[in-house]
Amino acid sequence: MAEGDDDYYDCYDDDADEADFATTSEELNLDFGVNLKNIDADADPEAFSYTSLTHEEVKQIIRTAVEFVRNKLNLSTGVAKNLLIENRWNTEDTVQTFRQDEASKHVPSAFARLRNRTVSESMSECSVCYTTKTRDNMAENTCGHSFCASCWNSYLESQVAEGKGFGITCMDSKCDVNIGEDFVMEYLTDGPSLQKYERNIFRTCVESNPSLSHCPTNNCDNYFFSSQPDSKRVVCDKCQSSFCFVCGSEYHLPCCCRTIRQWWKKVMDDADTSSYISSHTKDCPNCESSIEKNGGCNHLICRQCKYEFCWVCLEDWKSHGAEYYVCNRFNAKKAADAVAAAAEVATVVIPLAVNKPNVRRLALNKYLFYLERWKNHEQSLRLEENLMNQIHDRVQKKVQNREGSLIDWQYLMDAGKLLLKCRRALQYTYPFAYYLEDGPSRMLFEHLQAELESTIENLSFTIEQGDKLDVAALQAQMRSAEFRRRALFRDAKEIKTTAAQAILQAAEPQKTICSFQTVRP
Amino acid sequence: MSAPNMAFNRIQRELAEVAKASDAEKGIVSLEAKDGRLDHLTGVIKGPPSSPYEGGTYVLDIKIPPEYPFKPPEVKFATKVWHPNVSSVTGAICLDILRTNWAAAMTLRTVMISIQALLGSPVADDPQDAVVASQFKTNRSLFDSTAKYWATTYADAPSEVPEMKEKVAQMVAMGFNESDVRDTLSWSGWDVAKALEKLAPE
Repeated sequence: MAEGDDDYYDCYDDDADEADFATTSEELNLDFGVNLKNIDADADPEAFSYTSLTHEEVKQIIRTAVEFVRNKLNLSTGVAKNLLIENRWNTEDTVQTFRQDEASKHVPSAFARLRNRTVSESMSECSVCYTTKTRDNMAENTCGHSFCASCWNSYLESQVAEGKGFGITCMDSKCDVNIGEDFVMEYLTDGPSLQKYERNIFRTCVESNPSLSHCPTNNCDNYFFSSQPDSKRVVCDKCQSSFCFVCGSEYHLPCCCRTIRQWWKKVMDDADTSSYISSHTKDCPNCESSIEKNGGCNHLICRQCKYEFCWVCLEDWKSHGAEYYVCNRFNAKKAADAVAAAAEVATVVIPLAVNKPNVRRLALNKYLFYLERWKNHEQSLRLEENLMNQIHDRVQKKVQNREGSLIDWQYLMDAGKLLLKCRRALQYTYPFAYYLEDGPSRMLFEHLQAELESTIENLSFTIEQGDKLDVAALQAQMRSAEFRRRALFRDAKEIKTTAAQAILQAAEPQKTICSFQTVRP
Repeated sequence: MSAPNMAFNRIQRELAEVAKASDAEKGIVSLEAKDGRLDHLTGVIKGPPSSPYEGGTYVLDIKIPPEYPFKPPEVKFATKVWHPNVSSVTGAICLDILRTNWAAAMTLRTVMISIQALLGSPVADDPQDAVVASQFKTNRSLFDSTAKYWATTYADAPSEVPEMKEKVAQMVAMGFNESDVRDTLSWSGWDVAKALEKLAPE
């Protein structure tokens, strides 16, 4: 971010939701024997400090940075802005790259010479519309290419109509210089187009700046700034929507933006295929080819290895000899169907063409395992949101009946909030674990995950007890849950850092599936 | 928005320029308005020398959008051509300057020169026609002779490809439509049995 923007560096913990449940450190040595004294809000791995900004304030941030670069390098505001966008608003980088790059496409020194050359002829021909114009009617971009003002206007209009803002290049056939904002402002005359252009370029400025984020809700004109941008939760103070600061999608820690995108895509793409394969195919117990049974009886003969087996119990068919076509693990009805089908000897077996069927099957099973848990938690989360509403009603009723004030029942609300928070966290640990490589770090992570899971199930059960609930037990469970949630997130962060180092060492980023991102892509 | 008037003024100038320029040796034969309409033109180019298209004459169908020259012209081959970057069915051309890399200062003459250059140096990694492109990569000599055969048949190139002509004649004698036979044989890598299966399944 720009120097001199100190106003925006002071970050306060606006994250009301996150700060809501700050376990107080007065209670020590709980039943699970852990000292919680050092757990405070600062150590919460999910905590994130950011401040919300208005449209005007963001404009001010942009202006300050542009002015800084403009003055330092003696450029037009348009060129300065383009450079900042390209360098992701790192002012130091911008100045440095520009100085190193003095001979490249942005070089104004060369352009300046072109600009100041004495023009001998008073008339010249625009090479776009082929009409001869006086020099006053011609306009030259920073690259030195000159076309008539009305052509520039038509061109800019058509580019803006296509949705472009940043990245409109010169009209010359061999020139790829980006046209600066000041030039567009001067030569684009159509009002609505100009407004659209301003919106487009403003959006690009926000999106290319890692420290800025905007509320993804339609028509919500709210922006956020963080001096330590990270893929953490932002709650919009205007529309109350909650999202990831970096990618703007649903908040997804401990998964990083890339992992969760990969997971969402996988869940979308594979929804049909995986359920079909799991419900319609089995592996040959002998050679492990995937087999789709598309009709007939349960006596299968594998086309690959000629092994004969029973579709139901996957045992060798020979053991079924005496009770032909009847498998003892079969239920009565299906057994009857099978006997009825006995006349039909023809069995169709299609081994699916796969190179390493057992590996494929394993991968599928692994995916289904994680998917099922992901969906379970999603479902629980929905149910517990209802529970939260019930708690709310219950507390209201009690207050109305003069059974204590709102503060007396606050612990119940806190418990509900904590439950939701941990449930969400658990849901997103499944994609995270899915992409983890096997090894000790995965084992540790899954151990922590299991601990949180069991605590949460207990907590959920206790809260549902209603009036019979044991307050002391509930509070102990809450502390336990909070402690375990933090442990889990700390571990996830650790794993991501290790993965980061591994990538740096291996210099092979594609190989590590669990990537991490602290800045906007 | 840019008045079509401006596009028409420019087109008239472009037509005049191509007419007077001595581009003939470069392979640009002509550029003419179709039925006197300035938004629909016909360009003619020569197949580049030392390519399978040598000696062929190729007709281009050029449509001028109202936003021209701020939007690129829509150009496709009216003459059938066997080339990785040209659809063997529709004649659509895959060329960067006709899409994203168009610049308002480019002209129809530069477009025609680029298309002629594309004929001479195909870019198989950015294909328009997947069948042709894969043949170009895996069986270059078959690609060359197919392209030459198409040039002879559709673009009046002087060279002959007797064995292909024979295969076509053989299948036409079975009662199939000649142009279907040519297409199907080309797409099947000149395997008569395969082409037969496609033309007459079962």
